[in-house]
Amino acid sequence: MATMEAIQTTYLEAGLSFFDLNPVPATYEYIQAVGQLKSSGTSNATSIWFQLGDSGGLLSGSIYSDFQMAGLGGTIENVAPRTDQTSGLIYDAATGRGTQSDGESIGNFIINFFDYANANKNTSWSSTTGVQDSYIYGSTSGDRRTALTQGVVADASTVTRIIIASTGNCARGSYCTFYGIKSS
Amino acid sequence: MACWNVISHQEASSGSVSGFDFTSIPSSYDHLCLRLSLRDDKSSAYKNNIDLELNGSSSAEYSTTMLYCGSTVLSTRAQSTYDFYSAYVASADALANTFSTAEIWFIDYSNTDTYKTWVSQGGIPNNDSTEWRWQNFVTGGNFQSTAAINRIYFIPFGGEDFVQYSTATLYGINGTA
Repeated sequence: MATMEAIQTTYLEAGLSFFDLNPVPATYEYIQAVGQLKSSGTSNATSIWFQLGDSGGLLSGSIYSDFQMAGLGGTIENVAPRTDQTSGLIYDAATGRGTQSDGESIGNFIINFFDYANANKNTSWSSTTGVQDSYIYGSTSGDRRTALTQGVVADASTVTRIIIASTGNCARGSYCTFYGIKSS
Repeated sequence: MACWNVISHQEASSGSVSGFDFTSIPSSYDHLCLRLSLRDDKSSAYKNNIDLELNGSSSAEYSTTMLYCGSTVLSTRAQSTYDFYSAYVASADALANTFSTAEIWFIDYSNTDTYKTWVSQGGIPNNDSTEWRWQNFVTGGNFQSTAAINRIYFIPFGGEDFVQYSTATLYGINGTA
């Protein structure tokens, strides 16, 4: 059996607004989510948010903290850390449908959830993202960002559900594959 | 032939350990990927360096450059001769039960023509935004040896221990035949 396996691939069609891995098999060491996301919101670049679930349902308490370092156009940026929030956030990692957005642009994400099935550890995660939105060729302006973000969900229960969305609804054409990576 | 292969998984399952040691690494893959979920017992600290040695060498053959950030500072540092700044580990004052993450790739680790190089990224998550109580990092490194990598050994920089439930998994990655 392969070490890295595709668990689920979802292409968002009309009527779907988020990616939902439910249940999450407990047989892997890591879960990796790889995809592209465009928001149906009216802003330009917009954020990815996620929530985890355990056997008691979605974890919606103030237990999510996340931190990002980013290249934004021609500058570097430390996004203000977020602590004790009700969902995880990857700042400005998806394209939007703002008035300046290029309709064919779409944000990319790779999110890793480490040792998610270990009931003795909080769930730590990291992501690499890139988005090029509302840009003009030959210019460094626009919502163009590449970022390394990481965080923790202060809950040690085994993760049984992962929901990923944008801060607005996901637009049609967004997609995500969840991979499971084994350790034996 | 499978693309991703588990070479070895090590876990501090029954208590603290002084380090993780991957020995007799086969040379049959194209790349190595080391995935870490770590915490150490360094007291009065939120983070610590990892001291990473290749092929048992602690001599002045290492060079690393790290891009890292805290809450208000984004900076870079370079280190030559020593074998640290390859990654960070969460320490005793970080949020309880919280482990740092890191992924380190050793590209073309078995060739005997070029120096060995790696890239890594990771972070120390926390629920405290005070400067240097969390950290993101990206690192590139060079080991001035043309020998194939057959051993990866790492410990907390000050001789502390990795605490229980810390894990390290070494993968061998294949390209096309």
